[in-house]
Amino acid sequence: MIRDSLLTPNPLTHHPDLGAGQQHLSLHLAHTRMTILSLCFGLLFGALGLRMVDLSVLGLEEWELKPEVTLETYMPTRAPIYDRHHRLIATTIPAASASLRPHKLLNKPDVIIKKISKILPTFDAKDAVERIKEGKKFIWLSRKLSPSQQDKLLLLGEPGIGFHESEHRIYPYGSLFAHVLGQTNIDNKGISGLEYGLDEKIQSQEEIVTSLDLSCQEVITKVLMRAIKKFKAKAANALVIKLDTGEVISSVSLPAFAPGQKASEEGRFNRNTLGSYEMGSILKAINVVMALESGKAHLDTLYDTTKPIAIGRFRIKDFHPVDHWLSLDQIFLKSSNIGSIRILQSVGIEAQRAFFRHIGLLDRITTELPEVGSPHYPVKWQEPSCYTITYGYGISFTPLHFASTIAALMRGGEALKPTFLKRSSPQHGPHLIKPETSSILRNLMHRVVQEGTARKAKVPGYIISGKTGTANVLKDGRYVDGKVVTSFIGTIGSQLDKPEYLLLAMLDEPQPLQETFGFNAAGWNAAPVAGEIFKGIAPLLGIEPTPQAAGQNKSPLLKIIPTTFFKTESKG
Amino acid sequence: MHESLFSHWWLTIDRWAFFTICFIALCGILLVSAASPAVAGHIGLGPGHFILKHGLYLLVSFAILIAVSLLSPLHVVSFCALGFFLSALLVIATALWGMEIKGARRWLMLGGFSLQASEFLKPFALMMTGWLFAQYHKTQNPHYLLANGILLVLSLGLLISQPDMGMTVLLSVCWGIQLFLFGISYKWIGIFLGLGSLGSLGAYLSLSHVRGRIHRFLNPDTMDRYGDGYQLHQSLDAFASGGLFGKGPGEGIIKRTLPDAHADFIFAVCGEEFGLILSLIILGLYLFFAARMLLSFWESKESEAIYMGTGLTALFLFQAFINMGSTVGLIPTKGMTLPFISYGGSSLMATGMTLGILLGLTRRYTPYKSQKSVGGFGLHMTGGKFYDRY
Repeated sequence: MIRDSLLTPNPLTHHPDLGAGQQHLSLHLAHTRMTILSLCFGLLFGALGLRMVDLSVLGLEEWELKPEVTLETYMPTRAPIYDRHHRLIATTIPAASASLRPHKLLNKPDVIIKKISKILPTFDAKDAVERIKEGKKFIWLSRKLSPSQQDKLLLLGEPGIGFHESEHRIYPYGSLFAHVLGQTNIDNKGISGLEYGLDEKIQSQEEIVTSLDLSCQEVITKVLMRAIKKFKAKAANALVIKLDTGEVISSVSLPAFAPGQKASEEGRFNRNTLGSYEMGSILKAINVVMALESGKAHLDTLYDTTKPIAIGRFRIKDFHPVDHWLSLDQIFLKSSNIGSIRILQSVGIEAQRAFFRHIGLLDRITTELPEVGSPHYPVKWQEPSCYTITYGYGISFTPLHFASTIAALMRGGEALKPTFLKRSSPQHGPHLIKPETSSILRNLMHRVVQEGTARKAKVPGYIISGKTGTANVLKDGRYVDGKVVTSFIGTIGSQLDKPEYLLLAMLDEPQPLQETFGFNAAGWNAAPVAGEIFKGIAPLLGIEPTPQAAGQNKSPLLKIIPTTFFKTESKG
Repeated sequence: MHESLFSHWWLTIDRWAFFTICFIALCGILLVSAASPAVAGHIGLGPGHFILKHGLYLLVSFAILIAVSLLSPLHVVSFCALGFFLSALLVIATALWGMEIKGARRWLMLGGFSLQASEFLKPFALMMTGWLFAQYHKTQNPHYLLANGILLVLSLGLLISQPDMGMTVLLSVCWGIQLFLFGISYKWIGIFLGLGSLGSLGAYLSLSHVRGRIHRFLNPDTMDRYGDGYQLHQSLDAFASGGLFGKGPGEGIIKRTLPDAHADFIFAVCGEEFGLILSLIILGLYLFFAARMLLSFWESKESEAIYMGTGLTALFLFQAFINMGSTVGLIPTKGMTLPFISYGGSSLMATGMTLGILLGLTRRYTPYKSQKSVGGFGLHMTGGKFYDRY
């Protein structure tokens, strides 16, 4: 019998006729069990109470919570990039992407699409409607949602709108560093610039401190933009290299592009590292250095510059012909083409080639940037190409390549390897030329700025040395008259023997202006642009002005003020 | 009797218990007021929407409570029998025409009100099984035991069909408590516990959402903070951030992120905004009410009161325990309301009815003044027969 085995074996409860007694004993059992039950309840609620005390006050049990993800603790897949003063120039923030699954929509697609296009201004509603009609099951709405956009989309309450965690690479200064930093693709992989060149380091969370200076970059960009406007130039670019460390302080190439947006091919092109250009008369500096280094010439060696030189059907003339022989330094200062060839003839073609190779002008240089152009030079090193090379035609370099070579020659002859990453100690290299030759070069270049073609690059208070170059643009194998690329290369410092920074500034096809008396040579555009850049960046780079340089310039600050004052007085 | 119906009722009920219920209801109003505006805002309703509805449901619940507590024990049994029959029919109707929400079919739309019939089925079923236990106890007629078993299997079957595992477990446990009081031998307790474990194992193996919950409970580290473990993590954070005194009414943030902040997870809002103090007070109120009920039944010495009353008290207390326990991570998460505090029409009314039955069962047949008080709580000795109390 079930009940026999079911109930507690109590002999009294088994007899139906026991009446009140049986009731009493069973009650006794029930009472005992109610006590046990109450105890159990008490224990359970005691445990509950203790758990509550623990959670709220004691915190004994460490509830393993994953740390809250905030902007401070957020670890993105790409490390940030800083300028030389540790100012943030590229960073990654979390951002959601949104997608649409039309078949999961609760509301009519038209209604939802209308609401979405109000939230996302760049959303192409027509395209989306067409895709839905085509029966697409998945449509990207936006790959980069702002938090407020995401919030608004969430509040639509549509199960058909999905969100995906993603990241957004941010360049706080927009296009300012566009070419140097480069870009990432939609999967956050670097595709150009430092983003590509240093992709592995950036992805392995290595903090990147570049050699770039935000302030200089901004100043140079502004000056170049003004120059493009003023001279109606096609493009412009400039580089600043710190001479002792070889760091690239600034690299601007215009036109630029806005990161993350579609850019033209010209906009994406980094003129400083990828483009190769004929530098024109600047090459005469190399020619002079070569002659001095060969030991076959010194500053007052005289050369016959009275007659044009005929090579085949070409006749090489000078812009300002002279009827007497010129010394080496005069050839440089007057920028004589004939003189340059005479110098080469005294040294020899093979020596020229060897010297170009020796100072590294024939090998392409590498930096952290993946965009690297190669130098172009004649395959057969012979006349007449090697003649034109002396005054900067028939050979072309990337601006960064050329600038770092000139930098080496200007800083005492020590080879220099440019870098886009911060270096804290001076960089030394093998001597390419003798320090004495370097000193002569500095003097010559200083004189070009003081009394030669680069006078407009002068800035009161600073010792500036430089050389201008104007090269006709080569189009379809012919040099186009009137279309030129003008450049200025030079250094700035507070002592002539200790230049601190090198600047290379170039303008592509600047137009002759009334202001420049119809000229478009470098002295009329590249030189003044360089002067403006020097003026802007010298205080930022901490170059100390010297009274000696102020005196030389005939227009020191103290002298300017009374003159201006007088002029206004007389007008009034 | 010269007293009016109400004053007679007032003099014969356990007023301490009644006040406790009122306090619990007040806490409920407070917490629903704190939690629901955020929830209402989420689904585009006015901030006062749930508060107003909660107040209305509470009024109806108190009306039910008082009405049911006026019933004599004999009428209560008949009422429960009828109620059981009706609610079982409604649960079957729910299975056929109910609304499916989050994979479960528990709600039946009745003229704008979504009724969860199973909330009513639980107390009625326990009353019936308790009465059948008492009948067997008195008559030793095995048919009562058979009827008892059939009733239980039927009720559990209906709950499983929804499926509502929380309520199934709750009803099983409360029936087990009745069986325990009835005098089941320890050998059979072991067998039943074994069967219960097998049943749980079966549920664990066959129902994926049950498996998920248990797994997450046993391995909290594997929980995805923004995935399956989201609610519990939020809730634990709420208690931790609330501390002793809480952040202050309305200052909490959990209600913005938990969809059930005004219902199943209301206790987390309590912990966050009002701190440990109110949480412990609420816990104490439930315990105090249950203690008053159990002591009263203990004293009554009547098997009907003991089986029916204890079963129902356990139902009330266990539901509170499961809700609070899962909110603080003591037991696996179970979707269950905090009785008389959580928002929810069916839950409030069914609880009002449960409490009404309990207050009715503990009514004294002589007014308070003439009674001998025991232990300072106004406990009384009835000593008479169950049905002749009034």
